[in-house]
Amino acid sequence: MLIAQVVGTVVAPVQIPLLEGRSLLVVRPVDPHGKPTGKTRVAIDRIGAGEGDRVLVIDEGNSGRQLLDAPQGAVKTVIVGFIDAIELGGRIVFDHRRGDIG
Amino acid sequence: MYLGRITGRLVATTRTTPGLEGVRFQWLQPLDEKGKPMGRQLVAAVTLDVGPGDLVHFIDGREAALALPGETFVPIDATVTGYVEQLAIGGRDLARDEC
Repeated sequence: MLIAQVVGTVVAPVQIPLLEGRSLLVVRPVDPHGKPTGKTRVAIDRIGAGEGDRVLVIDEGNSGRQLLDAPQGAVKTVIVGFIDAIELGGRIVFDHRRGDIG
Repeated sequence: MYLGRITGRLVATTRTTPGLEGVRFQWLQPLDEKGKPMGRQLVAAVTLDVGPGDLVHFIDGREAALALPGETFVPIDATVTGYVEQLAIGGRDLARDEC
């Protein structure tokens, strides 16, 4: 799974059937300190996240299909959780109330 | 899925590959969150009503074949999954800003 920062939203009126009615957010993979670490991509939002949130993202087809209960679904990137805090080496490096902490 | 801009079309005869009826091929430039090119341009399979100039999202890997209607065991590695009408990032709509 990835840690990612939600950086935007996508409105797409014409889509493959699987995505109808699903909310799409633009997510930037980041490391525990918030530094970008991968290609920004579009994720299916399952938890009502919004721009500015730090989230947990599944980025693998099989898990995505299970999450959406779509055995033949073209799904890979799904937001599955809000990140409240990250501890690294005994120190809190991220807290959702205060953001990245050094 | 990734963001992308369709920049062209191409016609390829794929008679030897069943299951690609009605699938068109378009030339696509993946984009980053600033709307700038991200990585190499690629050929994407298209069944939606999109064309050159359109901002889209697309999926790659095995899921690209699953995104096609009907027969989904076809050798396709990138498929357009949606036409992006609005792309709100940092308070701006990149879909309208002609990125």
